[in-house]
Amino acid sequence: MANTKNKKLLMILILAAIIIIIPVLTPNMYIMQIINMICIYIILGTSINVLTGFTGQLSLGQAAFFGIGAYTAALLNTRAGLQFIPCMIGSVLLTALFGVVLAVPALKVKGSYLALLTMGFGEVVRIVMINWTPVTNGTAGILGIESPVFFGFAFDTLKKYYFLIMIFVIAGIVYQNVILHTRTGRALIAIREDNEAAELTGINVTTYKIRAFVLSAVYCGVAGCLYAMMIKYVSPDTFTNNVSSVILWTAIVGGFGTVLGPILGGVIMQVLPEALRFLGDWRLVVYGAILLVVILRFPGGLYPYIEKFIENRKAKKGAAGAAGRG
Amino acid sequence: MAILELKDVTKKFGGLTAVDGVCLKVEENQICALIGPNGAGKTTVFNMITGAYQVSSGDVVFNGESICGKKSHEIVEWGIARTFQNIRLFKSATVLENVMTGFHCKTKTGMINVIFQPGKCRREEEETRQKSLEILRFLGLEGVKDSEAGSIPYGHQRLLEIGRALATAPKLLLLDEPAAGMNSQEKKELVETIRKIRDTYHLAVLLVEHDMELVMGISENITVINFGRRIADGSAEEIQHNNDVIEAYLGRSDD
Repeated sequence: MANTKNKKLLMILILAAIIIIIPVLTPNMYIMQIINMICIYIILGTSINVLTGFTGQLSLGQAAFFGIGAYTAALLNTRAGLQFIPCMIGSVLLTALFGVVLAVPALKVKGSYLALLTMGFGEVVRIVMINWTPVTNGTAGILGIESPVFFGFAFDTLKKYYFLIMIFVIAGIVYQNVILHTRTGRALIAIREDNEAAELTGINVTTYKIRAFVLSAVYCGVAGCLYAMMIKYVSPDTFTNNVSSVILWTAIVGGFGTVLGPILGGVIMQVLPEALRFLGDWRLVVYGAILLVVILRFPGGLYPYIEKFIENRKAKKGAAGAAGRG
Repeated sequence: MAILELKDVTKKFGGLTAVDGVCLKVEENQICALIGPNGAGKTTVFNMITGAYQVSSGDVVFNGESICGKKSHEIVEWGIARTFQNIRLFKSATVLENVMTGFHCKTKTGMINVIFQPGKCRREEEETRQKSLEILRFLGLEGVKDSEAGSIPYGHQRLLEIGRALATAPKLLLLDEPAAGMNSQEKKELVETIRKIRDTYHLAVLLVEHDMELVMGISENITVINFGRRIADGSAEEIQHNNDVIEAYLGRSDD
């Protein structure tokens, strides 16, 4: 018992060390930017993981929530002069509200119709961003967002900002993991596995689907706020259908329905296109091909395979140890 | 007192009357059966009791109150749980998690409590786990508690469905063809299990089943329906000698 506790503590310490050392070892701002984007995409990947991975509700419109979160923070900061925390609260509340707005029609459809509905929602939000000029400033976007400042300490460089994002990444993953092992998490999984059986096991499917949408939207809202205050600029072309698919792919590649899958997916989906830059125009072709190979070779995502691989090695080691003793 | 009473329940699908003025009574702590040839409307009756279908006319009274118009999950909370003819477990969840899911309506902590009252959540979670293990132990499924529900043997899956239903603390347990696909040894054990469940959990059981030996052996009261109408009602003995029932199952002799 004490041994496993010590091991856990050691793991946490190692993880903390890695997290702290990453920005120190990062040679330039370009790579730091990629790392920060990985972190933001981990949150976005987690958002769709909650909705699609655990609850089984396919969404192709996550960029809309991401955008609403980012625009809310941008507007509260530039127009109302609010600081980071009230901006974050604003983003969370508004995306939660839009989570309900999308959930209500989404309750009535499933499968490909749900995919179309969410995709449509994404487009509507993007078009509103473009055309509601008095508020969103149209295609020009919103400039001049200020960096967060806490008690005189400004998170004004990418390296400093990294730690701020990391707090939310860790909180988001821990919360997802905790919620998964409560009655809420079981209810969501029950809905994914068998909607009707869930209802007949005493789960109010309607409210739990709404909760899943809201939770998913809130994750996107947090990511949006973090994004807006890092880039200091938001415009409609950051929140396209393309971004929705990258979010979806982040969870698919990492492994839907696994807690750590989005981390893996976030890293791969952000690093791959950058790493392939030397290919020039062929970059996107190769990128697509690699992703196809990944889903064909590893259906269910990479994380479950890695987990199995580690388990097998452990088992082999154990067997070898036993044989050696025998 | 009757725990469940169907009063002249009728269900129409457009022009088709699937269930026509059926009356049925289940007493507390009683094991009852609902039988009838294929397509007689048994499953429709189940679906009306659990709120999956709304009755076209008539009334469903549970524990002295009408449950017509209630949502399925509310009816589960009131104390009616069911199993399915074609097993419907949460297949990729573990055996233990399936039973724990059944405790949903008996527990409270939500998404916000997790943040502000983690201690309370952990206690509730641990309590749920212990109670679920108790049910698994009772059903003899403790050995497979960490297996994926979809991967355990068929007979165990049937038991697990009953376990999940028991977790909702029902006063009435509806079993839809619990013996389907079981061999005779398993059926014998099932009869024992159903009796044991009734005695341990103090609940009434209403089952739909095609295996007559099992039905006759276990039921204290049997209701027979055919073409949506009740044609007989009584003890196993009475049903076996009822001419209408014999005719419904075997046809009329011409001489």
